[in-house]
Amino acid sequence: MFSDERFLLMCPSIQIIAKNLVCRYENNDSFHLEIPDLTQMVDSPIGIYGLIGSGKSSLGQMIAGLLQPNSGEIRASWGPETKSLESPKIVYLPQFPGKIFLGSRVVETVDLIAQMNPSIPNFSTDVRNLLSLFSVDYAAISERNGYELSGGELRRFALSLGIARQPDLLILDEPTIGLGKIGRTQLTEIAGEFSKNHALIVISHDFSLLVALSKEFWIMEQGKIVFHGNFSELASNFLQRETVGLRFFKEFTAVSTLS
Amino acid sequence: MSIRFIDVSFAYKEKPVFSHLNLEIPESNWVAITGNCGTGKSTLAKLIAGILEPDSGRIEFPKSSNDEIPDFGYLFQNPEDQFVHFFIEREIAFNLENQNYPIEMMTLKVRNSLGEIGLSDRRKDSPNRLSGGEKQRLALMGTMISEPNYLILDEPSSYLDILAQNDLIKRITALHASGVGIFWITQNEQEKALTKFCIEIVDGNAKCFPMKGSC
Repeated sequence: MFSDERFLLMCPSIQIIAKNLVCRYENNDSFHLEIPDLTQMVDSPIGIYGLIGSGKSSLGQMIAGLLQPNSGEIRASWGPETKSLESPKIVYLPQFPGKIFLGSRVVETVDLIAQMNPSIPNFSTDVRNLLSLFSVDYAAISERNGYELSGGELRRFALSLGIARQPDLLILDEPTIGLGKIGRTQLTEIAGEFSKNHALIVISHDFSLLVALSKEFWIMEQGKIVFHGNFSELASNFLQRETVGLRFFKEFTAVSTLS
Repeated sequence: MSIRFIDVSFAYKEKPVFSHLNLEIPESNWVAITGNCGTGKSTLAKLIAGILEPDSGRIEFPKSSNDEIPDFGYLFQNPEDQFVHFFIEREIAFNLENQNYPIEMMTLKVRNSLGEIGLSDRRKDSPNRLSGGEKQRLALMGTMISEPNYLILDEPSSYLDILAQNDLIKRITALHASGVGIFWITQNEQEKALTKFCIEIVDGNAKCFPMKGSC
């Protein structure tokens, strides 16, 4: 379900480039998002971590092209080794999953997205199969309206729709909200499998999820990426940075001890 | 005294959630509501709060000394479902306005509450511009501010980071100590362990039992 012939033939990779990026918020003078210079290949899953209001979702939306910065630029494009006439397909799954509904009922939403993605002939079947991996029976929910799904069903449906669209880059924003222990395990397995052949960015305040899924970590605080690197670099360097390390110390050491 | 479900049935269109449910929940306790995805946790909570009404059967509440049924504050799973105003400060004030609070007292409470959740500078902003975690903290504050007899919280920590989760637990512990009954929908074992009783929903049936180690 997750293989993509283009990837097997071309071994493409996605890169994210940001230059002089500044994003301000209306009616909020005390906060702005700022990335002076960043070039990052998404060869392995990236986990974006930060406290409430640190700018994680805004950054994810800007990478997906859904939010424009006030100045500077940020874009996700093919890496220098990849030759393609098409731009990479990016899917951003918002933390409020109700936003993905196009029709009022589940089946209408699936049909509309299938029509919008003619290059994926088995889209509806893929959605059913993905829901099945999440222990949700498509037949049982297909006639329901979005507001008639439970929070867990809604999250699973949104994740299945996003993955079934076969994006080149999938950005999951707080994907564990509404999922219990079983759902989290299923998400880790499904997203992990997907990331073997596709670029993946996971935004979460749940550091243990990021450790399970990601190889590269971006730590955000007050609109800035204050650290980026792999887990061992994070373990060896991050705690040395007093300005941010103290705030994350308890959670970080708890996870480090477990891993 | 307890909250009693007596032969309660409820269905969404043709999809039954509860059939002839009988359940007794100890009054003014801290109660977890648990169950797998789609089993009816939020539905049970909405029935308790009176947001949904049973198709048949009835729910009895312990009456206070002045013979009134208790007030319920309800935090929706999705904080965006909670918001009714374009401005953050009006959102916080909404429940107080409904209870006809004196304007001076309301102004003071709103100002203090905004400070507690770090949104004083953004009081004229729209709730829709907040991050997910900020939205959940705003919705929670708007629910708690009117000091209801019961708080019904549908996965209240799901959008919160570790610091805000700890803050939430401190607030709820203090509220419960002051006599507020808490219903906490959760799929998190650590949160479940904080509660005194647990309602577990399996296959349309709900049972309430004391948590181990609680008195």
